Amino acid sequence: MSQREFPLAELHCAFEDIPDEVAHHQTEPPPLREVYVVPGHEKALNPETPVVVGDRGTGKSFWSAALNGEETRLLIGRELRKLRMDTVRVSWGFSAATDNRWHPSRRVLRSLRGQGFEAEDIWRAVLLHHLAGACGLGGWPAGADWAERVRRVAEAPELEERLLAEAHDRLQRLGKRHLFVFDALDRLGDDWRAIRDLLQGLLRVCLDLRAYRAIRTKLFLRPDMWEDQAVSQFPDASKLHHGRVLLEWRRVDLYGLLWHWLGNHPGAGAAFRDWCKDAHGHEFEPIRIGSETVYAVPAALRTDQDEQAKLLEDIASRYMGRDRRRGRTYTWLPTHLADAKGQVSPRSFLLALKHAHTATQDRLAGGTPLLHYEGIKQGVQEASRIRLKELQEDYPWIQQVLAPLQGMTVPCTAKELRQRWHAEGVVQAISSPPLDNAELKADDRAYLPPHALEYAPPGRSPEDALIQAVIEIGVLSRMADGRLNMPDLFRVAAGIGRRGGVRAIR
Amino acid sequence: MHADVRFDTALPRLVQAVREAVPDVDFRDIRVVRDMQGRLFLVVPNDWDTGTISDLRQRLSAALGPYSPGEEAGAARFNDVLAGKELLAERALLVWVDDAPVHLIERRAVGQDWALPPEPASAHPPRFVFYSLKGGVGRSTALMLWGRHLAERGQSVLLVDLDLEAPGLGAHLLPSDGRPLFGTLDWLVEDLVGNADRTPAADLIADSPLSHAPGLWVAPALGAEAARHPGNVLAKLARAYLESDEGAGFASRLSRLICALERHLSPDVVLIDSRAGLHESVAANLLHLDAEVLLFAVDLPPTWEGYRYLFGHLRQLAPDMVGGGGFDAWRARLRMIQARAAGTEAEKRRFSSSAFGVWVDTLYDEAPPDQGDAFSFDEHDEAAPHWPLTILRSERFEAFHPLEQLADVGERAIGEVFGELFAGLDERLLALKEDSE
Repeated sequence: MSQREFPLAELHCAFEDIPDEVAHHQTEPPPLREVYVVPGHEKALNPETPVVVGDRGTGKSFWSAALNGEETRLLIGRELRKLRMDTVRVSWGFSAATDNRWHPSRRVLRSLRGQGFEAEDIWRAVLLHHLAGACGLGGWPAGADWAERVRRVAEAPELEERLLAEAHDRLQRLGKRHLFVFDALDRLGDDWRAIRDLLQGLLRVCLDLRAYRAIRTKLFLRPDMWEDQAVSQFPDASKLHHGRVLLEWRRVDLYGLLWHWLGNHPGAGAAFRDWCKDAHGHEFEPIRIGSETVYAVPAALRTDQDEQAKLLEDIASRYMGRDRRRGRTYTWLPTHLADAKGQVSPRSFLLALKHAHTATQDRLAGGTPLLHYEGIKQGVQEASRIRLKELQEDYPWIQQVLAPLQGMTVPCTAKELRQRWHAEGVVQAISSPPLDNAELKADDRAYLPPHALEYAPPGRSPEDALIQAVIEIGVLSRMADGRLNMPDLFRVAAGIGRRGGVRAIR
Repeated sequence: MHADVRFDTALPRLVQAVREAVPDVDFRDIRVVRDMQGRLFLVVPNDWDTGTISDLRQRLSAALGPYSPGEEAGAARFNDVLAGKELLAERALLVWVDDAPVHLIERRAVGQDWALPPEPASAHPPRFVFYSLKGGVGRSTALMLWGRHLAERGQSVLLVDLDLEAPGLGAHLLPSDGRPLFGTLDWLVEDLVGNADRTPAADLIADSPLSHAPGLWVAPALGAEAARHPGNVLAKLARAYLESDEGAGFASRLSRLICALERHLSPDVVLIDSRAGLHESVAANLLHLDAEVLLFAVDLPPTWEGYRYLFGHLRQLAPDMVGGGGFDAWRARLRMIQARAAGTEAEKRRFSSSAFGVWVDTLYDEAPPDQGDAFSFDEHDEAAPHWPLTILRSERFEAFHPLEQLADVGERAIGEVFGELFAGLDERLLALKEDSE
């Protein structure tokens, strides 16, 4: 057997090409070759799963858009055949879009509520609007504006129910399901009160529709919104609770994503796939969708940790130091990118590798490994800054919460945190929107303080509620002994040290 | 007034008294000797004048009360004590009293090995010490089954029973007619009177039938002779830990025993069953055998309290630590073992969180935000010594007598319960062999 050369030059390009932009925002479906159908996300993608809860950067918007795209949905269906995607039509129930084509925007929602419409009627109008169009139902004011459509539902519930039943019958006769995807739900309103009201109405509608088996709804939700007790305080809400799925990236999924990126890169893909086949005996399967071909990562490289680790060793230092005691790179990387809940965002994983590659090239240009452990350490530090920025988009108050903690050490007691925040007046500062936050203004979202602050139970200080909020988003963890710890991912970027029992003499 | 001086507060009081007498004192220049009763004695540089010293003596006597050796004896210059300047070079614990690094020289009646850092060791096969803070966590069972696992894969394995007060390996692994003449306890007693040469390693070791493959060797605590003289065992125990006439402490005598066994057998790996708890003899196993140390634990408050006491002491050894690779390398050789686990990920994370809480307060270095090269790990870092290898809880291994019950239990059950432990230890063993090549 001829020994194939490791495709070093090609892989340089593939790592350099990892995109820098922070996340997928559009409602446009992602390019086919960027869709890695994560084995661990099968349940989340299942049209029968009503609620998917995911942290910032876990792929809520990505999957929402991929489900809505014809070709991307086809690809998901090809890889996850059990989901029977070929029988599914998909519409947006809500998104970050503001063209009011598929659903009312935040501003229109505010206006509708100002006119006294109930949240439930608004959502029923949204669903019916799509169904009427897709199923060719008569009697629906398709050409009107949202206010007119909602008014029709509110004033003629009988018409609404008849149309819904008709749509359902037609879908069943065709053997189809119509899936409504709701994303970006933190953009429903200007404050928590409005968001809660609309979200609760939406959940009620979803629950009511459970009986219509051909009409499915799927909500992609942030964990803090899902944990919000005020949202789910209505009868039968627990039925939705049982069906909820967490959008998580296991270690194997992260590496699977990397192989997918490398194996589908226009310049490096072919060489990388050949290498996997010749050196490791794993073959990518070509999947043709329309005029494009996507190469599916072989099963062993998706799910087998040992096989993944072997392949990684072609690319990266085996250990995170000259000393094996610092740990294997394969486990070190995801561990050091994990938040306090043990979750890693795929974006920060890929970006850590991109920066690890750059840092390695700066040190030992042209040599092997492609990713040296010193470079990987730098890459992880860079990724931690990016992760913090990512979080900040959803939780704009996080910097104000972390800034006063600079110079302290963790693990620490709740009291230490309370004192530092109290001294800086953090709770007051983050309770209302900052006046000069240009980044926030560029974003089409209202400022939302930590929702826990509004609902702090009596007897609990707002600082304690804030601790709870920071724990919920994975920036702090409560240790078994009750103290609070911050994972390296955030600790280093926030300028916080780790305490230790051993001190050196000067 | 010294109404409320205790063992714990004596040293801080001493530091305070010294500071009051000599405000610009550098604690690196002085030594504190703690005598067998716990009284504190201060030794100061030769250039301190007589006035200062008599002032110090008065202050110390008042501050330390019962923990002072008396107003005339509480402080002296190096030149005025028997050991002289050599005291500065003597092994000391480093105790931080606020920001004062106090070098404390321990004079102990028992447990002197706890105050000594390990010596560099000469070449020897990989050694693994199995230690638990409390008994009943399956430590010996894990040791026996990993030993068998290795033997059946062609390794020559020596299992050494150092749980002298509660010996188990002999009775568990050797049939009553298959014991060697003597045990490790016998050797330690014979050694005290210079008779170790007449107790050769060959008489301390027997082959266990637990493994189908040859090469599972056992050095029990007691041998066939003890069966003939059972009444002598407690009398032997009373002497086992003593210093020899030449002044060799228990740790140094134990090292000689292990070396003698290794010379005789040339095993590929040595597994040592340590006594549980904080007993004086445990220091030898944890510090002085140049071994990988497996720390068995169940996730319960008494476990962590005990490990806190243990590590809280060991951290004081830091500055003088020598041996293969220094203090960092020594700490990296410790590894937590989560015993009797249900096996869920959440339970494991909780265990690692509990363990981290102790490690971060004791054996990890302070780490600045930029990390640097500090010996420190995050709460859930799988490469960290506090991150456990897990053994599952299983009734099959309760009151387990391997020679009789192994066939009933079956390989699959062993794999289910001990699989993660064996894989982790196999990997570490392989790494040690690669390192030594």
